[in-house]
Amino acid sequence: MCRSPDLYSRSNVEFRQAGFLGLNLNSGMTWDDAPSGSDAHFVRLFRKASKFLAWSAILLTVLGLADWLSAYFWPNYHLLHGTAFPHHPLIPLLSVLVSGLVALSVQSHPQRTRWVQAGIGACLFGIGIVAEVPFIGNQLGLRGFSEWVTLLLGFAIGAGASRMTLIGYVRQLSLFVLFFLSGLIVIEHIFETAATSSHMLEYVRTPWTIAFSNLLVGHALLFQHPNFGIMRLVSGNGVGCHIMRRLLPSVILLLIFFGWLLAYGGAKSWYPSSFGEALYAILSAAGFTGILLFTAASLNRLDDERRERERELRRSQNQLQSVLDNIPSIICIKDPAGRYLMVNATFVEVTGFSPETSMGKTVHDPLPEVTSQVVDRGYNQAFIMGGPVHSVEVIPQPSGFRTYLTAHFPLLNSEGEAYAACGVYTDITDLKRQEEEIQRLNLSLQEKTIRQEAANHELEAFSYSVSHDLRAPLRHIAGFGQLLAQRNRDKLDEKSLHYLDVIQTSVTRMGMLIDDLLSFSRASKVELSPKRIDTAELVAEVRAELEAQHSGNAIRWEIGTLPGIQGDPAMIRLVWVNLLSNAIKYSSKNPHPHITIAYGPAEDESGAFWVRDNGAGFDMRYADKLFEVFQRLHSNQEYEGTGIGLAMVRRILERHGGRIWAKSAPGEGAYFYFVLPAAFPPGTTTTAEGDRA
Amino acid sequence: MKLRHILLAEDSPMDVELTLEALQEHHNITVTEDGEAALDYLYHRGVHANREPGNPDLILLDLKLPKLNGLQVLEQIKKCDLLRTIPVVVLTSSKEQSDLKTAYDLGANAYVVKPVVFEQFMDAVRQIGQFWAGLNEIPPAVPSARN
Repeated sequence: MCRSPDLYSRSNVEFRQAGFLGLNLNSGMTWDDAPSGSDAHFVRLFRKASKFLAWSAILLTVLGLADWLSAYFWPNYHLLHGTAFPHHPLIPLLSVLVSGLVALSVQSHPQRTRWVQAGIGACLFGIGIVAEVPFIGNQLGLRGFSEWVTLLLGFAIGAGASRMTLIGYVRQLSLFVLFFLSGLIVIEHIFETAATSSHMLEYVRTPWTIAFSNLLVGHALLFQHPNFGIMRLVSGNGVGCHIMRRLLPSVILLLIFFGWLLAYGGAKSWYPSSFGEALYAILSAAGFTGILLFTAASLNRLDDERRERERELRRSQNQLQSVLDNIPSIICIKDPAGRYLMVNATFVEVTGFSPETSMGKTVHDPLPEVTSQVVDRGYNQAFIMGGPVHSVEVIPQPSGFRTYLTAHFPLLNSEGEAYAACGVYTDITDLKRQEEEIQRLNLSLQEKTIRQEAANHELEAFSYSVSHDLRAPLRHIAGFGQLLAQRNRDKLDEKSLHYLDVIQTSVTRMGMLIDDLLSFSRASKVELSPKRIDTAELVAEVRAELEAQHSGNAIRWEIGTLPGIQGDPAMIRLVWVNLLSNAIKYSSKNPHPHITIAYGPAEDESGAFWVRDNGAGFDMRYADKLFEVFQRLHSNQEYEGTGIGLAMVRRILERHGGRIWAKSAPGEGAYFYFVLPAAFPPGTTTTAEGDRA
Repeated sequence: MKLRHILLAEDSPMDVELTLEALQEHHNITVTEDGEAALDYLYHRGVHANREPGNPDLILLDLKLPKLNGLQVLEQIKKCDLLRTIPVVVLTSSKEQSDLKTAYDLGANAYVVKPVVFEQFMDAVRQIGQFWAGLNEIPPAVPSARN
């Protein structure tokens, strides 16, 4: 499957385009509020330059005023100008002064000065208009070039208070007119040093101080809004802006310098005028070539950097895309209009729509109506909430209803506005099903446990009843039978006495059966409290106890090293009591009973306990029956027993997680093996804890 | 030997008969058929209101009794200052560990499971009688309980 990121994701070029040239005609925004596209560094630099230029203009104006005053009082003494001011310079000087102050204060208090700015702008504009009215201007001797500049300054200041974009552009235009006029005068003044006379200056009658300070203050006003309009072409981070910053100052300065050289060389008769012009032409060509070469090199460097950044970007995009594609969740990004901007491979897999067919389409195009409504809701919520929204949705699919864990969150641009939202859909249908299944099983387990508990309870009541109530009639049969025998011993014949004897024996056996059954049921249900058991000590105790009751042939005991174990002491004791009493019982007919107890590898087990006797043994065909309740391999006449002992041993071992098995042949004795998972290897020191009930 | 007074709380007439067989030669025995009657006897209540004063020297108590069971009777006896010094021997068919534990927790002086075999039964009951109502001494001058 093709997984090119270019196919999958439409880059956000269209979002960048919104800020092209900064020509944002959205009137709701102020000029300075739209920083996108501008380089923050240059914006700061222009604001600083604006302040510097304003201060310079103010300083120059103060000097100009001082010069005018000195020329007024001492006509032969001139501070700055070779000649006295040809006309009244107070209005242009003051207008520059005021403009400079406005440029400074507007930067410090942009909001508070808006009305002051508008007022001052209106005043200056008014003065400029009045001065240019032929009748009034001529009367006052004011009508000249400087008053035009005052008018333009007034407009620039007043327009600076406005928030309307159009007025902003007109303001910048007016400032360029001002630069044109003032620049003309300043350059003319510079060239004047070379030329003997200037008709132009005669006409405009403006001293260079005023023209130059106009130029300075005009720039100060222009640089106030480095983010706006044409200023963005200079302060921005685009390639065009880069060229502007390099070419504009150098071209202007170079042309002025060569122009001056042409005029100055001509005036000094260094060369004929045709050579001067040729020199001007060739120097301009060389200068521009140099500047262009320099600019081209720097542009290439920028381009290399950009390409490197693009490569980086593409790499990280590829990375991101392969991560997105390999996530088993559906991931898609949509714009506020509901069009897909990016989808991942899982989306394609689930919806069956290729990235090409879904890109730019709304959710309604690739998905059925019911599904798209659910999807739309998630995205809309994300846009409204402005943050992540999580939910669980059941969405119809061709394969049936699927449950999705969904997360929708807005994607923000650098201004913090949501330009798109991302939806992540994780299919949790199977998980959900499993969870339900687990819940169902849990529930049935709980029910079973309750039933089991009830059954256990019943069983307890039953065994209590057996324990108490079954014994009583037995006792009575035995007791009254015996009383009967005592009372009529002389009258009863031998047969009757035998009958009574049989009754007694049966009663005794019944009592044993009841006791063993109760022990067995207790071994099955009593709660185990495992402790560490010293097996060797336990076996010695049990052996001593059983030997005390034993009255047959002397038994030869052989006991190996026995490891300690973890188990319920009372229960494990029952295991040994039963196994050892069995061994004693079944070897009782051997003239030399020999019982071995040891621990070692047996069958597949690395370690098992075993008890061996040289008694009657049994046929391995019946080995299965050995551990079942009431199953006996010998008659009661041969060996007494209830058939419960080994069943109980097996039950206890199983409850401890262990197992028991036996090996034998008739007349060859028997081996009983058992393993307990908690057995410690031999030699382990064990500490017996708790009672040895 | 002086006849000692034993209170036998036992509902099974056959057990009563067997016990009497073992004990009545040497002891004066009062039989009550349920737990309430046993307490009535001890507290001189009901049909026993006009009985002779004095506490029994031994109480033989079955656990499975009608009305109040043996353990409840035991609890009452051992809670009462006037009765708690009377030795109480639980004589029962129950081998249940829980019964055994509860009986001792409540202050039983002995717990004997009635043997099934006749000779063992007779032997056990006789020994109980001999020890608790013969050899064992209890504090004198315990006033007869009345309430």
